[in-house]
Amino acid sequence: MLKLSIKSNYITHLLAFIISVGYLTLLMITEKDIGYARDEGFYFSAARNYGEWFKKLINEPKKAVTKREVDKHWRENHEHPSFMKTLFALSRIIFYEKLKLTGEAFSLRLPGMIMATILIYFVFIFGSELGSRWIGFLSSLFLAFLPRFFYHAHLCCFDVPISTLWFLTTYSFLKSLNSLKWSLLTSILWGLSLETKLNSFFIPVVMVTYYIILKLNEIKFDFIINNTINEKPKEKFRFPTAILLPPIPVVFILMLIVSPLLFILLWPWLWYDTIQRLGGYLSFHLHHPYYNIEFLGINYFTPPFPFSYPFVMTLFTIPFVTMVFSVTGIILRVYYAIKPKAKDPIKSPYPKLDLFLFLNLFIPMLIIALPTTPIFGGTKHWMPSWPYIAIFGGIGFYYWLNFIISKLHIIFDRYGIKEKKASLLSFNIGMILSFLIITPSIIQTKGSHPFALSHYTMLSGESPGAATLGMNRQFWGFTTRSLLPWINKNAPPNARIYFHDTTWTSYDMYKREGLLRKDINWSNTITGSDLSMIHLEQHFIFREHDVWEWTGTATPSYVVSHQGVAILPIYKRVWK
Amino acid sequence: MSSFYKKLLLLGVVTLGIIPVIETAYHFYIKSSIPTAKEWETVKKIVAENFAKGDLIMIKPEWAEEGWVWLGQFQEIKDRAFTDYRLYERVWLVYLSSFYDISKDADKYGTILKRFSTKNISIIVYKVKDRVKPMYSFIDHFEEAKVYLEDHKTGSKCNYIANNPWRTGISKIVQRGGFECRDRNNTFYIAPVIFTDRSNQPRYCIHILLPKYIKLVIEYNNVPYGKFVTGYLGMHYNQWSRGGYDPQRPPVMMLIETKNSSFLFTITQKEAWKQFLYELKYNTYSNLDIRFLFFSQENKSQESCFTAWVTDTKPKELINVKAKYKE
Repeated sequence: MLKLSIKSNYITHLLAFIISVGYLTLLMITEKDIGYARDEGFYFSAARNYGEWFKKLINEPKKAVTKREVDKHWRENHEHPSFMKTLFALSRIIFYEKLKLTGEAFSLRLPGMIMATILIYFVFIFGSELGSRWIGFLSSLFLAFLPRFFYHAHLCCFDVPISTLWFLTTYSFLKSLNSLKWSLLTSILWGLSLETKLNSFFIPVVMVTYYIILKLNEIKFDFIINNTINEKPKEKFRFPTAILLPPIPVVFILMLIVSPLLFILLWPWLWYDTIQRLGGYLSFHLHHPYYNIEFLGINYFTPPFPFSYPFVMTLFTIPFVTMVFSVTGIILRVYYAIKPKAKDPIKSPYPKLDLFLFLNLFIPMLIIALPTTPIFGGTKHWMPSWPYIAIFGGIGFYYWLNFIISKLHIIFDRYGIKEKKASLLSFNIGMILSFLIITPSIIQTKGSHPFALSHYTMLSGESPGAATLGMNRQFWGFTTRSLLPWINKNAPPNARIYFHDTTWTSYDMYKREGLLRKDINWSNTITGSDLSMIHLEQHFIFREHDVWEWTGTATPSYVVSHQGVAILPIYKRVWK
Repeated sequence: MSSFYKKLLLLGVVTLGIIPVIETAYHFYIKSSIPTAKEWETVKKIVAENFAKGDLIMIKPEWAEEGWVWLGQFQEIKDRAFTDYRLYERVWLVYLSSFYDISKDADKYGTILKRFSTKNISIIVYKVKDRVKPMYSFIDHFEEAKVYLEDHKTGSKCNYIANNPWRTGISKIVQRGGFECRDRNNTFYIAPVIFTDRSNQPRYCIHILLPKYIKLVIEYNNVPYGKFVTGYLGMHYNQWSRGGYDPQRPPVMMLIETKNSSFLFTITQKEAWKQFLYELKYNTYSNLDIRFLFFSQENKSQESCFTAWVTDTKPKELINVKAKYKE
């Protein structure tokens, strides 16, 4: 049989380190291909501004903490908390300004890439703790080679960081139930999550639900009848007069104290007018405008949004093999849960592990599935569930591998192959099968780069099939990067270009990074431009027709396509 | 475990091993089914050798827009935004062989004249059946029309401005010559434009803007007589409504009036591009004056588009393209 390694020892950490560092290297090598997304443009600008404040904090600390200075620097982008933007700012100062080791955009994106690496590392560790390093190994690879995760892992954004912090917080929580040290760490991690993105408010939902179900046997309903406690009521049904709960774990108490303090402490914007600004932050997200999303041919602008959206999008964007192994893992975990006498090769070190995994997998998706939740961000808004899809995939793979190896051992025994040799053979077979299973995900990820938001997988017929079905082709205007070589070569001197969905800050960064010719000018409108590009999304289609009208031609000069699906045409004005 | 379940289990185990092979093979199949630039170049040569003025090219699926880089030179903007394929002599259907189900279009456009194919691109040239031959196109004679607004109290004439450098109307870029109209609040342009209808299709037509409480009149004099006036009314793609469908908005109406008859036509919010047919009552072959009146519910502004022509041939089928929307 396969040798199991239940505890995460140094070899496990070494393997996790090798895989995650390898992943970081891959991210760094491929970073330059990916265009600057709309949101990145806002964070680039905010990070520069916050960076100036940190310099002031070192040089003139007393002045820096005054309300005037705090407001001056931290007002920008105050609708989002500051943890990642602080890291972006510090990375920029260290790697770009001081050490001059990297370009500016790279330095701003580096913290996000490191957060992705940390997530890969801990998915490996957590997976390995569930019974075998094979689980950790495949789980981390399944996650690393989700095309859209690979894309987001490059960005100067919050989606991968909040997924990392969600994972770390809940993982730490799992260990915290009997440990003060882990309880404190959990509260710190949740504080950092709060300081990263709004999704963090839902982490306690997972924790509390898990804890209540875990301690369900300890919850007592008391019925006071004739002043006698615990006497059974004579009526068939009576409302309980008291509920005896299990003791509240220390972690929850610390999360109520440490996390909010950390949240406020790390966000200078909240140091003054705290209640008012906190209210403003929450209010912004509670009343967030509805943007639009194209889904199965219909463009949804307002609620009700389709309940099926996160589930269908998950099926359409995750490599099929990952999905199949994940579903296999889920089915077999359910099987072993309802058949406790069956011989389960996985011995979880955590109580009600399956419940914990299910909650983390489904709660982020269910939040988005609610018909009133804005769904403008494609798949990224339920990214915290992706590590759990990968872990179930790893579990599914392990069951599969275990079955194959157990059958092979019968053959080995029959042919008198010694145990040591049989183990080596088993390991080699495991590696070959791992390679076989992960290959489609690697190919999908490679094929999706740098257009992962335009990329769909086998169940939808890949990107051409998805385009025919009427799925969103892109958002954030990031594909402009792939048009720059054409522009640099073909645009007339001092050309004015309409960059459509690309923000000015992204355009500015292309110039700063030397990716766009210096003489190219920004045109805010189609009218007045020499060249106009259009990011093809259903709700922008009329803009392309406006471009025809302005340029006097319906013949694009060039079209950026992904798998033959047009995503970004550019038109040169010919109208005289 | 019974032998049935053992077999089932074994089948499951084997299937799990086959799936990655299938997924990898499928990816490479997709990759190899996408035409290269070289292939498009070949298609361009084929079209150049066989194309005749008055032919219409369609590229399918619509997302294969890359093809227009090579084939765009054969079409004007108004052909990309065509009104009705029956106005053309021949239709060239250029499609990606692996990604377009040709069976639904097999007989749609007429009789097949020619077929060409490269590795991933197929071309069918149709001779259009039921061809429509306009005797007089209103959009082509728009400059000669009289355009004016009618509201509760007064009417105001719109002035024709030729050779506009460019104008931004309320929601459209207008470059061709058009009529500048003024209501109490806005200046706007009534002109031929590329209009996006509610099925997301571009249409070359006269943009009809109806500010609140305004009726728009387009009047033509001395139009050559024909048996029918036919054409289309389009409903505008409204980007801020759900799926292009705003249930709060009323329909747009068009009243066509000639000397002794009239014809009322309506397009609702659930329709995108709808053909009308008005049979003229005259029995003399004299020219006629014709007036198109556009209006809607008074307190709602509206955006629509229209194109029409006079013809002697009655279309066999009236086309009605539905809007893409979610109830």
